[in-house]
Amino acid sequence: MPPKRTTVLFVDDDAGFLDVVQKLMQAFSEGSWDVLTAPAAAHALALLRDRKIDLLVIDVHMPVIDGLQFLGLLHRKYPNVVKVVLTGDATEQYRAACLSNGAELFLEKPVSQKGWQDLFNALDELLKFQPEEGFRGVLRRVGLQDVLQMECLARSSSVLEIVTEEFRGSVFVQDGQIIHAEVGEQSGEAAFNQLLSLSGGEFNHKPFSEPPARTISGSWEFLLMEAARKRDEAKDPVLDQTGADSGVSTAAQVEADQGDSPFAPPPPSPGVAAASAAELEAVSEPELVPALEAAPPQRPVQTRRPKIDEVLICSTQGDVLYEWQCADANARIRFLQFLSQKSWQLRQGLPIGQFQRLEIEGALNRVVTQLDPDRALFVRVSRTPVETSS
Amino acid sequence: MKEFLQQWVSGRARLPGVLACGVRFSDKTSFTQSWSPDFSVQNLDHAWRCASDAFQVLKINFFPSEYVRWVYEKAFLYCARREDGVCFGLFTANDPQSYDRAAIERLLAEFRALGGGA
Repeated sequence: MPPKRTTVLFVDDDAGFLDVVQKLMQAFSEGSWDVLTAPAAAHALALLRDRKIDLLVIDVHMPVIDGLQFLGLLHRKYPNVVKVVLTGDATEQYRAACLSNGAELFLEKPVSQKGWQDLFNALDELLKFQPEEGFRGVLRRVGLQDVLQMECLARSSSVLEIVTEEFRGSVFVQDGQIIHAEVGEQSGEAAFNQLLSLSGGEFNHKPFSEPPARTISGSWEFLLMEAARKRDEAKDPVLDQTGADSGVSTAAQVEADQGDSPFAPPPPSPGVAAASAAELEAVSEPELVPALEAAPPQRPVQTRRPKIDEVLICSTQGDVLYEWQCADANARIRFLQFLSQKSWQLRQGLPIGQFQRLEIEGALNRVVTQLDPDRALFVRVSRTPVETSS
Repeated sequence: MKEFLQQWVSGRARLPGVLACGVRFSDKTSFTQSWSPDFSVQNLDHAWRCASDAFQVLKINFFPSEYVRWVYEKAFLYCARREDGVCFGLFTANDPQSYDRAAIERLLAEFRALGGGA
């Protein structure tokens, strides 16, 4: 079998640079790379459309189009293509922005023969990392939930017919609202949840027809989130037994099970997902959360009460499933995508297993992000000093 | 400063339960110590680079950054970054009984305060 060929596309407005890089990369790869070049963004987009590109190396300082915007656009449109930024000069902030917008590496343009060899080695090493299913969108299977979201977001009217070996059901969407679901003898939200919990089967997208009844009136966002939560609970009975009421609270469970700290009840919170976030806070920071059944007060002490400031839950495709007080969901999603990418790169060669979450600690606030196979969670919590008694 | 930080790492970071640790300097060089044969210096240097990238992205997102904990299935990676861009990281097993979290948090705070760090 012939060795796998790798296609690398360099995008730069400097024709001289492209000429040199093409010759050198082909030479260093001993012919195993197909090195394509594009002097402009439009040319690069045409090549990406027509060819399978494994690695894209772009100069972000290009005329006409802002390099960062171009990188972000490429990342949304081609999440599977590994992207590297190559530039002559950049500030730390710009470098961070590129990493945040999907670049896996940020390299400086070579100025010596050794520099060219180092560039090739870095790119070659990067190509050895096998893409895996994950948040960056490598696995972009369109499921029933995705189709429903698209129908609702587009304010469409349609009927989704779901067929499995045991069931046949339907979900009716009118003007972007889910108005009815039925499966077997069931109808309404119970039927909707059952249909969304199916792990297999087929669905057909049909033109809208009037349902036999209108059994659902809640917002589609809430319905989809609830369905996802119920599906998770069904998968993991431990969550039910411990009283955790959201599928996103697994981090707290892991910590509690490991005995990292005693499990403290969460404070009142604005919603289901937020309650889970409070659990995260309470579990990892036992010293900051007094036990509710503490002994009678002896003297006032200052503690910090966690307060949920922001919650975002999104799918692996980057669709928002739930958000609360999230001023810039796109920025959060970009961060989660970056995290997914970086956490995977970080563990290469180390016996540390799959990434679970990142806890970002500050004196007065805290951010917890958790990546699950089918969704990601972002929670920001502040700690308000309060006088309590010990 | 590099030499001073290397000495500090050598002298201070070998706490019970720490599998490996290292610093990544702002000139992109690293100093790494590993006490586990499964954690090679090469792979650890790569990990420090990734952790250092993450701090930059945290900064542009205005997230707090006293320290971060990366939670993996089998290990925790604790990291802190100083104002001068130097990052310090250390791995422990994902077993809270195997190390003293408070001692590690103190170590991270000490690292950030060293020689005028944040």
